[in-house]
Amino acid sequence: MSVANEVELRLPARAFGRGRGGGATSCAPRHRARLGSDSRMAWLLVAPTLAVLVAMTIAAGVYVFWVSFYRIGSFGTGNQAVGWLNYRDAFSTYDFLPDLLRTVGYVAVSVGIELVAGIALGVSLARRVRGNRLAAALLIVPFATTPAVSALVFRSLLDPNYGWIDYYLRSFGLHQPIQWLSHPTTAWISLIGLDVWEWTPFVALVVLSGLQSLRTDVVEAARVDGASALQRFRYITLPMLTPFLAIAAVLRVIQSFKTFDIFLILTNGGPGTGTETVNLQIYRLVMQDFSIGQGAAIAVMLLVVLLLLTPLLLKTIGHYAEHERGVS
Amino acid sequence: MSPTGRVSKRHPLLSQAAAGTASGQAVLDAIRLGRARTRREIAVHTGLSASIVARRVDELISLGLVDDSEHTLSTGGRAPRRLRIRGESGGILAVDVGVSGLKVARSDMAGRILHQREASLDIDVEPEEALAHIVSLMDEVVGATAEAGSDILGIGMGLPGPVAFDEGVAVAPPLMPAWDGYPVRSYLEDRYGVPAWIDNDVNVMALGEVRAGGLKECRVGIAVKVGTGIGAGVTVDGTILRGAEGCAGDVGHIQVSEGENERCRCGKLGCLEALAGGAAIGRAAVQAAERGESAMLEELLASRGVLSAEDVARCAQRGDAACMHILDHAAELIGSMLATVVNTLNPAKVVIGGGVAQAGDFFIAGIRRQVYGRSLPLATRSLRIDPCELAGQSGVIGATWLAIDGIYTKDPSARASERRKILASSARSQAKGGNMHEDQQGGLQSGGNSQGTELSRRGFLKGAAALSAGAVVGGKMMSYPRLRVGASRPAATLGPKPTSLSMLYAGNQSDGAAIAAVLPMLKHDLGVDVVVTNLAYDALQQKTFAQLATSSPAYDIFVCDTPWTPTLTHVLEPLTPYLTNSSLNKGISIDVGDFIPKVFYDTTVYNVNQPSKHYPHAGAMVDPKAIVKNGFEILGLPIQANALTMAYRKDLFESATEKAKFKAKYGRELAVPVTWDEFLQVAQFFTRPSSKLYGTTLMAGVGDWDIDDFKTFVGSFGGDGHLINDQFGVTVSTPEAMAALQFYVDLIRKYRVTPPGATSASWDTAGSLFSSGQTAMTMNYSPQSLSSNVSGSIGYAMVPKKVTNAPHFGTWQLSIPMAKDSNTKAWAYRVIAWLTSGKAQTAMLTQELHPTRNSAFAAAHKSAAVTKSFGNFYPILQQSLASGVGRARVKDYSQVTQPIAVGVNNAASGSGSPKPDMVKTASGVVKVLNSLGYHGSVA
Repeated sequence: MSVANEVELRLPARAFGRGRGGGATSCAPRHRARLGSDSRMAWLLVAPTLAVLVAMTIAAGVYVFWVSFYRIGSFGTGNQAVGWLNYRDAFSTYDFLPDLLRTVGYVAVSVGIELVAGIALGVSLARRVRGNRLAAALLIVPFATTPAVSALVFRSLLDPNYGWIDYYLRSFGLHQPIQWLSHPTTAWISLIGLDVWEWTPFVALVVLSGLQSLRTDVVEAARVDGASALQRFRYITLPMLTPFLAIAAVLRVIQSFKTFDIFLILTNGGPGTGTETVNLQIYRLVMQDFSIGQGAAIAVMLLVVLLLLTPLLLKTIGHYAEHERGVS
Repeated sequence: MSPTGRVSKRHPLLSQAAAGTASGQAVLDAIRLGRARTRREIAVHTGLSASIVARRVDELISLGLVDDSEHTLSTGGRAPRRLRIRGESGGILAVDVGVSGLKVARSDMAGRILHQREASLDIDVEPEEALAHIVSLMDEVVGATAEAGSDILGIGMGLPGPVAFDEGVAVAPPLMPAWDGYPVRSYLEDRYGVPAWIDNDVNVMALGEVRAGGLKECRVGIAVKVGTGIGAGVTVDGTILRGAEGCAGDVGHIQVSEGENERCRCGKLGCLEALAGGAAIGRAAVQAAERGESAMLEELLASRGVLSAEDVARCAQRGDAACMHILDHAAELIGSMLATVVNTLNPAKVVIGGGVAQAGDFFIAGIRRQVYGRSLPLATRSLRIDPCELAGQSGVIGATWLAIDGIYTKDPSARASERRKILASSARSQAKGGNMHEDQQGGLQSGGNSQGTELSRRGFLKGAAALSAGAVVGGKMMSYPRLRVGASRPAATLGPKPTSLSMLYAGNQSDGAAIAAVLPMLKHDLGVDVVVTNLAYDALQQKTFAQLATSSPAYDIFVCDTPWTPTLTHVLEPLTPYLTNSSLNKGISIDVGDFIPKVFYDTTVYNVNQPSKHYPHAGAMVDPKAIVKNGFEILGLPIQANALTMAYRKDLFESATEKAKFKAKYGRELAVPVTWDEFLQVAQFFTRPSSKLYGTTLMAGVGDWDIDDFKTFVGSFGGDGHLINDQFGVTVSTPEAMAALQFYVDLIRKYRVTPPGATSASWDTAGSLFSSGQTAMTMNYSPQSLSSNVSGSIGYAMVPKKVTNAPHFGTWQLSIPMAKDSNTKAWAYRVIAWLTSGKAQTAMLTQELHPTRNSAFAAAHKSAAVTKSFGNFYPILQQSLASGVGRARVKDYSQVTQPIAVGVNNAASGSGSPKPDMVKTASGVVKVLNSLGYHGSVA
């Protein structure tokens, strides 16, 4: 409240100074002082957020990093510093690399499909046609559903004995039931299918909001100049959408790396280790056996991968945008 | 400390690498003091994690200090390597200076004597003169063993008189007065350029006895030397108790008589030494000879003019009555002194050495008579009093070990800073934890092992060591036992009733409905409300672990599944004190003998520090006292026993048309299969994909369920159904296991008797397939039901066998967190004792409780209501439990068994031979075991 008082007092003073016309010199120091108090004010305003951030994210992150060099004996056996052993074991015993490759592959494929399908869906929903507003509202349903619930439903749908999917496929003339979750390829199709079903609408909504905020005059101008619909989309709409796509892509990549529940429920990593991911491994280590240190080491490495990947992703998309701008 | 600029006192190699850390020290001590011979034993003994132990051992091996080339006898599984100190890594000069003789030996670092010489020596001269004799003999020995190839790393010496150990100086020695204050140690160190350690002859003898002689296995032992003087060395856990100033054990100057006014050379009256020491015996002998009581003594006196204690001993041995009388009197005095010492220290063994002790058994017998007569019965219950085992060699052997101990423990300078660190950290943990008496075990262990030698050298008693070393921060290594805040001892009597107790329980897997049904009865009987929180399996495990990891768990009672318990042995309250305290069992029929022994031992009985051990007498009737006596504890009471049982569609098996069809096809009656061959035939018979009927379910999806299927098959084919044996041998790729897996895989892939999707099925998939009428048989953990649109009935049978029935079984137990206050624990105990009682289990039967008591099973067989609901499930469950095979006992069970879950699933869903999958699985399990610090191997 002292700040508020200050502001109130100062305003007439400034008006007065300006009124006198000779305020430049007398104002300068006061201005500087105000800056100082402003920055203090800024810190004050940021402080709650900062405190929450430190407590919930930074401190936890530092703890995870610290813990990754220990074998934590949570049950009366004491902690032991083990240096890089947890990291070494992650590679030699807990198959970090294959798990990571599978995870990356899953992210690349599912996010790729979601982006393409999301753009298509978004663009087609952007037309102001009756029914599109309802469709846009319905888009929220898949990603508003708890992933675990969707996974359970999918599991039932995919069941080779009583699942709907097989039932309908059979009515199209399929004779042998498909054991969706018993073969790596079909298991991946199921997982990616679920993910695409769940998250494409999210990309579509981002694209939709992007399209609605775009200026229409450029597209109009192109049309007048005789550009085809494809050309208009390729050279005008898409480049202008790039910032929105970047947001969607980055968010989706990060979310996708964290995907865990659908794997646990649909396949639990099977068949064999066919759909095993880093997250399942961390879950097993930390949540089932309380091998906190070992799990933390793997989590730290995943974090590093993500930290390296995000700027790379942003840069790539940014480069693409620059390129487009140059051409047009 | 002598301020000479000499080399570091420690072993030159020990300043290198991590052998200088506290853990390295603990490991080295465990090996060299013979406390542990294998890596696993070291881990158990020191409380360090097995991976740290393995690393430290490898370092010590690479430094050339330790050798592991020898295998010990296998106890099943790969024979562990025996660790021993490499003797050739250095040499020791051991010097035993006696009043009239001198022994010098060259020994190796394992304490073996390689070469020894003796000479006579007159000690009562100027120290320079005597030392010149001594070093000339030492030089001879060094010269004679020059080709031994290893450097002399230190010198150990025993002197016949008081020595200030820390300074290495003789202090007012009565037998060699000229040596008072002479810096013997720096003399030797300056001459040989290696560190030296000097101690009095009695301590050196005691050290020899405790390392290589009669006191070897004793926690507390006493070595008494009866020679010219009388002295005793006290050994605690293999090291010498020196006392605050280094004169602990100087029993010769204890006053034993008010009447006999012989003045001791120490200047006081009535000292033991003055009345029973060698000089006194000699004097008495002269008097006896002069009185003409002994012809033998007269003769000796006449020929030599003097009589020594040894003369008396010799004559006594030849049966001279006067000599025996003299010695008997001495033995009596020594015995009465020892009785006091025995009452004070309660040693396991006393050894008697020195010249007089050579008089033979009757001298020892005299001492025994006094000690056994005068000491407390408890102190003498297993006390042994024996002559010194090493006899004359104890001095050189002790001197050898004196030097080895010094070389292998930390530098004095390093010690000071380390002690500061220990004290600082213990202050920290005290501020943090407050109550330190729990976890004394851990404290004692690290105190006893990593710091034990040095602390007792400084004269700290072990209790104090436990306090200050409770939290050791040494070098890079950080390992301190957690302090369990608020953990408390079991209450002896029952305190006020708590208003309510909270319990964490499993919803579907161990049947929460059954518990809920008897809570009103519990309230009526005990007057306590129990609030139950039910959770599904994964969530339950997470909650249980998270809560038990805190110092104040939110629940008073936990339900634990068998794979979790090995991880939790240190945080679950041991229940023996409760089970054996009748005041806590009022109104409850505890009757532990009624529990099915196998279920009880598999579920609740653990060696807390070696949780992977199975109880050795798993067939014996449950007896808490016997369990504790065998080093095990009861960590809970079993509540729900699950076993894999087979359910079949009775309507199909009894249908006349099916029977006729079966007989027509196979030429025998359709019957519930007993063997796998019959099972396969029946399953093939019922497999009719076109009408959506299959032979059986299998739960071959990745998870605990495919492991349980697999271990059942392996056991039934004659393999080890635990899959990992007690020696951490992985038995998944044995011929029996391979045959079992091949059959399991064939059921799915070759004969296709399972509905599609078996390789992604879990126990609930199997349940719903059977329930919806899609299979004729199933194997699951609980009674099955048929959905309303399937008209039929269910029968149960044992899971079939190849050579034996070995269904998987696992039991839930109710446990109490150690960290609760004692009154809460007492009441929580009452609740779990009541819930697992025969009465409660019987009452829960209709709610599908799988009992753990014979009486409850008997009740189930009699009850018409139970039979109506569950058919013959309970008799089959009881049979299955009797022949069942439990789980491997390993910490981090999910990690260890994950490769098995994957391997079995791979084999079942692949297309080739399952053999490579299992070989990979076995090595995968071994890898995880090793990363967790076990020494896994492929069995």
